[in-house]
Parts: sequence; structure tokens; C-alpha cells
Amino acid sequence: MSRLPKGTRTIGGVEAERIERCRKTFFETFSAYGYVPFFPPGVQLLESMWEKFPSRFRKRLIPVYTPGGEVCCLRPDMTLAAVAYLSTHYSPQERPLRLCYAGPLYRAPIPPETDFERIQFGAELLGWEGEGADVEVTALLLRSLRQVGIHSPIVVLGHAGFLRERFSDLDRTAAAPLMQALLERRYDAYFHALENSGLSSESRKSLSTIPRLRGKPGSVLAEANRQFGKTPSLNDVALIVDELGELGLGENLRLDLALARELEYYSGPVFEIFSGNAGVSLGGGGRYDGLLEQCGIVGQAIGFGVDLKAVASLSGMEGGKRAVAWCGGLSPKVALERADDFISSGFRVELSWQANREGAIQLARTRGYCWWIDLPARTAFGLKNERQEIP
Amino acid sequence: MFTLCLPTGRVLEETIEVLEELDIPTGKLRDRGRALVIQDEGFRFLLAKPMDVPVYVHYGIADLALAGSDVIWESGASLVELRDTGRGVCRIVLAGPKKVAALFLGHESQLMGLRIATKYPRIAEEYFAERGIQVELVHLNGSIEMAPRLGLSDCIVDIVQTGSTLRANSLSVIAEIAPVSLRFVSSRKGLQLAWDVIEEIIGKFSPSKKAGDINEESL
Repeated sequence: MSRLPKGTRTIGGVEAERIERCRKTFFETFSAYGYVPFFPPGVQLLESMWEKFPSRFRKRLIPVYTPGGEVCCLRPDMTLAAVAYLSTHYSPQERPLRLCYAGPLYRAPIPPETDFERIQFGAELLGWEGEGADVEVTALLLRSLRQVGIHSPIVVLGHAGFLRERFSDLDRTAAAPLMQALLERRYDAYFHALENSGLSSESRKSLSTIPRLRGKPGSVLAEANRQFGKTPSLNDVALIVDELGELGLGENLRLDLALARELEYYSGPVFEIFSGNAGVSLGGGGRYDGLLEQCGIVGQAIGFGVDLKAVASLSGMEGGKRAVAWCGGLSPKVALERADDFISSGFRVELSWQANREGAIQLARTRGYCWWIDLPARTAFGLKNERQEIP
Repeated sequence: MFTLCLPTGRVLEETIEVLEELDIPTGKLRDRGRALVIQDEGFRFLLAKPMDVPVYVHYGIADLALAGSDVIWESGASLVELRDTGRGVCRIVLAGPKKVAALFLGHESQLMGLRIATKYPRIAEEYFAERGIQVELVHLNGSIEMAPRLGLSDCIVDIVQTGSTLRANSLSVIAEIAPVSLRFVSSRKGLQLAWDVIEEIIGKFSPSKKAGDINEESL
């Protein structure tokens, strides 16, 4: 019996089909808007990414040596590869660049999770310097989720700049533990750090509201504006909220102005995606202009990644009526042509070449299908007594 | 229905008291018999082993939970820590017999290879690793205090409340590792999708005593 490495698993059957359908739907949605596929290598040089990841993320990298003796890690993230690709393959005149990808990522799991491999779909819009990119990416993501059957996804929107604005006047010793606590979502520790920050009671009172700025956009923005005035980051958020509302996606939106993403290269709006049925976030993303700057590129960039396994498990995508099609002695040419007729009317057929009609029916039952097709008779029979004929 | 996960065992009584302070119905919880899932008015309570509470929260089964900070740290789970209740206060300590305690006053080279018995292998590993001390961990599930006496370990990492069990086993505290108390935790999903209820619940809470004498402003 062959064993799999701990933290990995083989995905097959209905789950694999759903993942593939979700991947296809996401690709179709994004490629219709000019996002081009992108296939970076499965390993990345450690030296080129080490400085760009925060220390607690570095601990999750999985190092390997290439046959050439170079120290690499299994690909933990696609964004760095996308930025490197942009900087080396496209001149400034060719920007913006829209990329999308699907593939495995590898990070040491955080308990109680045990898998270190995940399949991610993501998209990146790099090098656009005007408005619109945030809304475009978020709206397409929401549309894709709806198309795969997740009807009420919730995008939780925050802004990395909002937190920086709040902490910019504090000295580093006061700001660092506050930011750290928000990154780790330890609000208890946040209040503790605030209490011991040496700040005036007025500043503490104001900063203590941050972890409460969460919920429906209208009320959260009103409260944030009342507390902190109309800051650039709140204006950014308000713009996105308005635009997504115009697109009929307002119900899918929540704000969390204490939201800080794990990767610190985010510099503008950030978001996470939830569905009422899933325990953990399906994914997230945001604007990362600072990372572009580190690579010598001027402009904005926004991207996201979603866990395709998690999305597929919620999608319920079955992809048509599945059936075993009994060929009943027909030639392969005729059998395939007749099967095509059923496929074009919504069936997904698995051809059965066996001579025995009953054997084909039994195979359909074994597979858990609801239909079997008698190709010589051009008729589909429901295993629960339905019947459908194809002329 | 709003779901709360609560730890079973000796901390359950304090947990129920916290809920009562928050006007959450606890009648059926007190009269639970052997039930592990209890519904009372608009609440569903899940009773889980303390070490399992973070798992129920992480996977979104529970919207909110009460868990000890020792368990949260040991689980390594990425939870949202909302509020310190100031209840269930104790400490995680490194303790050992006097002879071993004396070693900790000298050079750390004398500590290399010490054998540590604990039911908190992650916490113990992080504590010693941060200090560059290589130790051998023995993972036990209970009665940790007897391990040094029987020669199974040199010292222990465990929680201590009054210290009487330590004294009864001729052990003394060598170092305080962290204060422990009961915390309100939620998942990232719970935080976002059940925030209205969570805010209402923890907003009512006024802590009586805090771990590590923390005096915090409330959410």
C-alpha cells in the first residue's frame, strides 16, 4: 500500500470535478475581462523572497534544494511571482497587466489544519494608477463566486492605510505592539498594549474604537468619519462601497477597519471573503503598491487568492445530468454521435461498450448516477423512472 | 441560532457564572445531565474538552467560545481573542525540585538536555527554544507533578493555581511562563458574520479580576 506524505491528499471523484468546474468558471469570468493565464514555477528562490515576507510567514515556508543546488522553497504565494514577471517581461507602456492563475501553493499549516498544500485561484491587476481597479477585481470575484453557486458570499473590506494613518503619530514602541495585536487578531492584547502605551487618555479612547469598527458599511463609515474625519483611506473605502453598491453587490459587503492581512506588503484596501457555511475565510487579497515599489515599479497593484477546495465544497456544482450510455453494439462512430446529442441537451455521458444492457444499468447505479441511456433507442431512462428521448 | 462552545471540566462552573453575568440563559446548561449539545432560547451550547474548544471555533462550528489562554496558546490555532474574562486565573510555570532549580541560577550550558514533563509540549518547546536551551520533552496528559519524583523528568511545565500540589510533590516554581485566564474567542468568520451578537455579549462583560493584573478597556 503506498502512503501519501502527511499533510497532502489525493483529490478525486465529485470533489475533483467540482474543483475543476470552479477553476474553469473563475478563469472564464476573469479571462473575459482581459486577465491572461500565468504559470510561475512551483519553486521559488528563497533569496528573492525572504526579505519580502514577515518573519512569522517565513516560518511557514517549505524549503527545498533544486537539482542545481539552489536554495528554494515550494511556492507559498503567487503575488511575488506575478510582480517579478511584470517587472521583467513588460515595459511601462504595456501596463496595466492582468494575470490569473490556478495551482498549488505550499505553506506549513496552522493548527488545527494539517494540509500544507492548497489549490488556489487568484488574479492580479498590476500597474494601473487610476481608480477602478479595486472595484473591478472585487466585483469579478463576487460574480465568480455567485456563478459557482455561492449565492451570499461576504467580502469584508478594510484598509491597511487606515491603520497606518492611526498609528503614524505614535512612536515605534507604542505603535508596534498595537499593530502586532491587530495582525494576530488578539484584541485583548490590543487593549492591553493601548493601556500601557503611555498615550493620552483621549488618544487611547479614540484608538480603542478601532476593533469595533466592523459591520454594515453605512454605519461603520459614519462612525469612522465621526471619530477620525474624512481621511484618504476612508475616502478609498467609501468609493469602493459606493461603486459595489451601484453594481448591486452592496449586500455582499461588510467593513472591518481593524482588518490587517497576514502579509504586510498590503498598502491600501484589503479584503477577506467568507461564506455563511464555511468556518474559515475562503481567501482574500488587497492592494499592494508597496511591493511594486520594492521591485522598482511605480503604480498600483491589487490581487486576491481563493482556496479552490473550500470554494468547491460550497459550490454544489454538479455539471449536468450524469449518465452511463449503453452503446448496445453500435459502431464507435454512431455511438459517439448519438452521445453528442445527449451531451448537447445537458447530459454528461460515460460510454459503456459492454454487450449486456443490464450491466450498463448496474454500472450507472454503482457510479451513483441518476440516469442511464440506451443509445440504440436514443432514450435516457431515469433510475427513478424518469424517461427522456432524444430525436 | 448562536452557538457557544464551552470547556468541560473544572472550569465549566466558572464559565457558566460568566454566562449568567451576561444574562445568557443557563438553566438547561445547569440541568444538562450527560448532554453535550444543549439548546436554550436563542443559544446552542457545545460542551467540549478544553483542548478541543479551539478546533470547534476554528472550523466555524461555534460562533463564540470561552477558552483558557493556555489552551489557546497550546493549540496554535489562529483564533480571534476578544476579551479576557479575568476568570479561571492561574499561571503556566516551570517547576522542579530544589536541586534542579539551582541549575537555573547558573550557566545555561548546565540546562542542556534537561527532561521536561508537560501536557503543553508546544508552550514548553517555544519557551526553551526562545532561550536557546535544548531540552527533551515528555508529553503527559495528567498528574505531571509526580514525574520528577519518579525520575521520569527533571522538571515540569504545568499550570499552577495555589501551588499546593507542587509543594506536596516537593516542587517549587523556577520561572513564570505566562499568566492564564479564561478568554472569549471567536473564529474570523464568526467575528465578521456574527459580530452584532458577539458585540452585544462581550459588551456587557465587566471583568472582576484579570490575568497578569491587566486593566483593559473593553470592546
